[in-house]
Amino acid sequence: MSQAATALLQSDARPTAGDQALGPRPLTLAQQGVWFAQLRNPESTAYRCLEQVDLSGPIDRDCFAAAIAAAHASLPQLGAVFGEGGDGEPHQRLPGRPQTAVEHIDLSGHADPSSAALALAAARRGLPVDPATGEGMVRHLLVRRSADAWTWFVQIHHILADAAAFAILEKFVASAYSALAQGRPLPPAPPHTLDQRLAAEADYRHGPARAADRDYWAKWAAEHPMSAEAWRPAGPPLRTAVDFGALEGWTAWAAERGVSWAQLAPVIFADYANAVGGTPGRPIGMASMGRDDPGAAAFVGTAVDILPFAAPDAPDLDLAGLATACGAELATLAKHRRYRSEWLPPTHSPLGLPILNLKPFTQRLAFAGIPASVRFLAAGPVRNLELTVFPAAGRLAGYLEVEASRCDEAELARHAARLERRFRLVSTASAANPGGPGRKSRSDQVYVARPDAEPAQRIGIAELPLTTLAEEREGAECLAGPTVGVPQQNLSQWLTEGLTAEPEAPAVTFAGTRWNYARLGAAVAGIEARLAAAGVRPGEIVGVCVERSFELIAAVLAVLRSGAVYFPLDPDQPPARLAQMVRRANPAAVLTTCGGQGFALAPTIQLEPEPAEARSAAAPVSDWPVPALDPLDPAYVLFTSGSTGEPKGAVIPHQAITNRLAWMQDAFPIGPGSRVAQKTPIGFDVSVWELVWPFLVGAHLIVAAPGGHRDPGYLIDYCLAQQVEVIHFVPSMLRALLGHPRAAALASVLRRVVCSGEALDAELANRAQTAWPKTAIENLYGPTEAAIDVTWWHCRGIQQDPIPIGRPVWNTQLQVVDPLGRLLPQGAMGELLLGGVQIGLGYLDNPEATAKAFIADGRSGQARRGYRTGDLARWRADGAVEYCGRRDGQLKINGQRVELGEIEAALAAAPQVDSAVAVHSADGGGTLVGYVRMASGAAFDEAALRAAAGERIAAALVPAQLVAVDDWPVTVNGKLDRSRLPKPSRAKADSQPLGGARPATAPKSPVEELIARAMAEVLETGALGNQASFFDAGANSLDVARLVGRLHGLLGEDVPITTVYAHPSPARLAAALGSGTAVAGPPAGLTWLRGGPAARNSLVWVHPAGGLSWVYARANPFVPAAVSAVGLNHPGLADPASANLTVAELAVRHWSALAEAGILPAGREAGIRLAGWSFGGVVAQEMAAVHPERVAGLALLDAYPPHQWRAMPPGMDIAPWQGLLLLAGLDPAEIEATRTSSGDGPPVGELRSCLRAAGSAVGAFDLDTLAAMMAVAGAVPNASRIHQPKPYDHPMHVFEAAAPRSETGLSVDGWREVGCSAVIRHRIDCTHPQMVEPGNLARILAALFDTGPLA
Amino acid sequence: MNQIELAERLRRDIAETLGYSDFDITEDLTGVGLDSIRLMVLIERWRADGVEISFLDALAAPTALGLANAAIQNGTDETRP
Repeated sequence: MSQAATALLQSDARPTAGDQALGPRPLTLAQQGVWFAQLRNPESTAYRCLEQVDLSGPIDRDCFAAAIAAAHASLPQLGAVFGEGGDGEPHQRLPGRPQTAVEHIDLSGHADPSSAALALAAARRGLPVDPATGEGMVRHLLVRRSADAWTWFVQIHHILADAAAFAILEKFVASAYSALAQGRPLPPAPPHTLDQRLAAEADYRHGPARAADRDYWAKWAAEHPMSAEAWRPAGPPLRTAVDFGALEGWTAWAAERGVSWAQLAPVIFADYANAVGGTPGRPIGMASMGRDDPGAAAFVGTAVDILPFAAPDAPDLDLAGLATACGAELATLAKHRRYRSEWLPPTHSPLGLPILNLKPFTQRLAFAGIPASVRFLAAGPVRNLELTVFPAAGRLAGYLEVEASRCDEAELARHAARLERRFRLVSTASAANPGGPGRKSRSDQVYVARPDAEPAQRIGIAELPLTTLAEEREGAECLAGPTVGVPQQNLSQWLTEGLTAEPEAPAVTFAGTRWNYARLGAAVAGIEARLAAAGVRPGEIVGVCVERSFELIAAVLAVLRSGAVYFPLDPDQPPARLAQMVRRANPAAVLTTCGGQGFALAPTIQLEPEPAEARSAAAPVSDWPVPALDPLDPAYVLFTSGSTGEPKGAVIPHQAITNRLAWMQDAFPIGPGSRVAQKTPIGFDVSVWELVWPFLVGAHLIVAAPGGHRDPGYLIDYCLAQQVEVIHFVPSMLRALLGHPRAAALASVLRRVVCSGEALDAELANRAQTAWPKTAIENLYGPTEAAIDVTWWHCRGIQQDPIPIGRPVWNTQLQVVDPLGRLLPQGAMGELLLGGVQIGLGYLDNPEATAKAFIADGRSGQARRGYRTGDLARWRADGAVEYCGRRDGQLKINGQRVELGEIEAALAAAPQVDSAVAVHSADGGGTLVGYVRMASGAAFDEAALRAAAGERIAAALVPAQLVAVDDWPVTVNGKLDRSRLPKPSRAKADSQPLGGARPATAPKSPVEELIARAMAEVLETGALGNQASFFDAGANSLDVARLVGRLHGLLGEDVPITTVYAHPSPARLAAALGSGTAVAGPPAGLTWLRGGPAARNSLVWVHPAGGLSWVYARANPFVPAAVSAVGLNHPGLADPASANLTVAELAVRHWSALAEAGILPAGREAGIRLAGWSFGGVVAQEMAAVHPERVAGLALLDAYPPHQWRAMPPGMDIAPWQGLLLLAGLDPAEIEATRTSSGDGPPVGELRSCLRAAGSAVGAFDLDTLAAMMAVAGAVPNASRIHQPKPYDHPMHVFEAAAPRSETGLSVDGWREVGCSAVIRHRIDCTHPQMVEPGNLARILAALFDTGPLA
Repeated sequence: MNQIELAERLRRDIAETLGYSDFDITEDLTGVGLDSIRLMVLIERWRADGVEISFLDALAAPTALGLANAAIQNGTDETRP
């Protein structure tokens, strides 16, 4: 070791930089973030950062220790110790005791020294760390693995260093080591000091730049709606390494395009995280170095921040274009990134976002020629996926980390593999297609664009996959239904066989009448004859508009058997809508029993109940011709809701519906005699299988009465009477049925319940299984456009939410894709795509809608079509698919798909309406609200508009409430901002705007008042209403931490941070803390102001003249920690007969109340302290005088003995109304000054308004209780005058308001005159009302508890 | 190229990237608006041209002159044509 090093080790190392002053300093902004986070989670080791420096050569231990000592001597900020000041704000001191200890361990004898070293470092990381003393805040561990292999582990608490600081420190230590080893002078210390950092921050905080940044971020937040996760402690992390390919490839890629991997990485990462997370367009968190102040780059301290960043996601740009755009966005971010993330609104906190950390600090270090490499092992808390990328050893490498509770190791490995695939596709794109010449030789031209570069392969973001290749294969296998050859490809032929097989078997029962197959066949033949007579040929569309009846069944079968295209028209639909559908379908004929209104455009065939004699006239069914049909010929057209207001007719071919029916017969086999319910309206595709399936296999259809499907009681009778075995329910109807008292009776008849149309929840499925233990509960899913159902889940055993929609049916394939159409991996939510034989042919006469929804099925590579369901789904590891809602505005009402656009179009169709918007609100089980902007001059008539809409859409779709708006609220991008539409009037009562024109609601309990006050103090704003949200009022996450600290002092209990997030208003928070009982009537004998009866020592406050003790809650912050505070209230508040109690009687009552509450002190030492203000002081003195053995201390606040009051001229007593204001801590003089009239004082209603305006909880009482308080206040002067005080020999603090007053002859000496021997007089320069202001209460309690110097 | 010339050249590159050139080779680059991402881009370009500067060098001495000194210390062959 050199002499210099020895000298350094031996010297009393002192700080050399500019931080010598030992006084307390505030924390830097970044330090505050760490401080509060660590405070909230003191056990967490997440903030102990650790890096590993591997040294490949012989290290001189002493020289190394000297280099460490030199570093700490130069960097006193690393020795900071932390504490909290009296104001609750953290501060740090630099005691000038640099951390120089280096623990040295020799593991060279160990079998696996590297692993042992890591384990050792991990163990050291678990040792105690104490910011208050500095213990463990910095640790150096030097491990000798062999003579030529050493490792230096450096662990520093995150409040002292971030990754950049580590790098600077390591580089300095390496330079110092080299200098010391080679006898050269020490390198200069990294120059930036803590004080410089603090000064720069203070300049920023109070300067114009921060205001500009705040405006920028407010605008940014408005443009990027987000809902951030609430803060909670970060759990232990998982980590895996990633390798994004050779740096050379990246450098080449970047050079060809004039961009950097650092500009592209946010795009690739954000796109992946959002696609897999199902959060398209959501910002990610970008680590920001926080070193923008001049000189701050070299600061050894913590500065890093995470700011939200919206990476560009324009799919039309190629990756180079995206990287350029991203670079521009990053440059904008850079201009505003000094604004700390803690100042962002909580909705935009980057906590919980996927985070990208571009970390360019990897460096080649040399310790006197010994090469060293650095690895970071722990760099702070991790929550969502966090990707750290850096160039290292010729690779673009990094780590992917995540909180272990969010993801297991296997899943993290899959994330890593997919990200590697994505990044490498880019880096190898350049290698595979190396455009442009090699390195330019003339150095002064290398930076300009190269016009001669060949265009490289264009890759857009949509070309970057979200899965690995293996996952693609796995997904294709998992999401394919069984491939099964279905012989029936012609429904007409299949029906012909089914209808003619068993003529005598029962076929249809309706309204107590049964038809056999022969009878049914005859009716079908009869209708077919009429169709033929009307010239209808196979392939032509035939409408059926018939109520449930024999005629309906026969008509549907006749259309399908004849080879025509079945076109159901539900007669319950509004005629205008039916007319729309008929116009679109242009049917060759419409079969109807309804008189044909609305179908003027189509020829109608009127069906009548067939006369008995006509039966024999029908053609024998054996002669039925079977039309030759192609499997892709249309079988039926069924209209669904369209977003433009025009219904869309999905055309389903024969092969699709026969596949669906063949699968169903295989899955749910039925046969002759099986009884299947028909109760679904024909406009809903479920009716298709009900109407057809039984007749294919000789089963028996049981037709419910028209309208009967809506009546649970009817359905139970119907199923029981007809012994129905198979029935379909939309889940909401199943719920209604199970709610019927006789539902259990169906257990003996129902064999199978088929559910579809809505999400089936586990509670319902389990209820059904419990009620009907032998009944199979099936969950089916599918759109009308893919032949009714495409997936199936059999509910076996107890179900849990979410119940999957199951696996694909025969010859059907599923895919889950992101909005760019890329396959998503297992578990990720995306749009469900369908492929296979059940896909419809498209929408009738609507090529635009068809092109949007029916797509080429790229994966199969065949000329098949796929269908975009618009439904969100994810697939589970077992291959079952879960439904996750809709991706657009579509919703389901009564199982039917409804486009909000259709409702909007119906509303806007009224001539007096200019435009309309429909909103489905999830509140209260889902309600539709319509918003209309009236045409100029038109009056808003809700009833008339609803009636008009009801003519175009089904009654259930007409919004229950209509709201007229003057103008549509729009986002900054000019889009309609649905969230800012006014709430319908019914909900108005629930919303409580903060401040502004409407007065805030006053607190309703002392705890609410304390919370509201604490929130207002933290935010430095005026009084908060008790319903006001802390966050709406501007709170950020640090404010929450401060609030929690304050509440601990005020309430004497820990308030979990999560509770504040969950209950952000004073009223809700008080309720959540169990002490928010709103004022109902007069308060009982005593009020717990702080803590509860569990505390051993109590401070007992005695009410002032008005009888209520709440005003003393203001003293809570000054009550010592282990002491609880209770306030005694005058019994007259609850019982008017007690208003005139004497002081002596009051003392007796109060001691009883304390005994009942469990506060009976064992002796003076463990005893209570009594205090009272004004009249309360007189009562407190009496209480102490009768039981001096129970009292450990007594304080009278501006209270004087009765004989002084008796000596005063009349009219000096406090008036009742003044007493009322005083007990709320208000000064009556100020109120009086604002009044013009004098006399008896303001009426009680006006007094209450004053109380409420002042934010006093007293204002929450009803007028009767306030009147009772005034009655007590009115009785008090007399009680005071007639009282005869008793002597008291123990110390008695009397606080005298020293300001000039109108009363004469009041003096503390009066207490001595009545025999109090140990009066301690304190003068406080205040008025009588000011005696209970916080500053004065602090002094009073300090004296009473003897905890501090007196003024 | 000596260190002043190299520093001048680096300054020109930085000015081009920033679209702003009113600063000299001794001025703190964070003060003139050079952020870490653009610095990384520049470092990649310089490295491609054989000018070896690490990000940490830039942190330690964030001026064009400091970068030039670091590049020379890092063994840049400043005699390259």
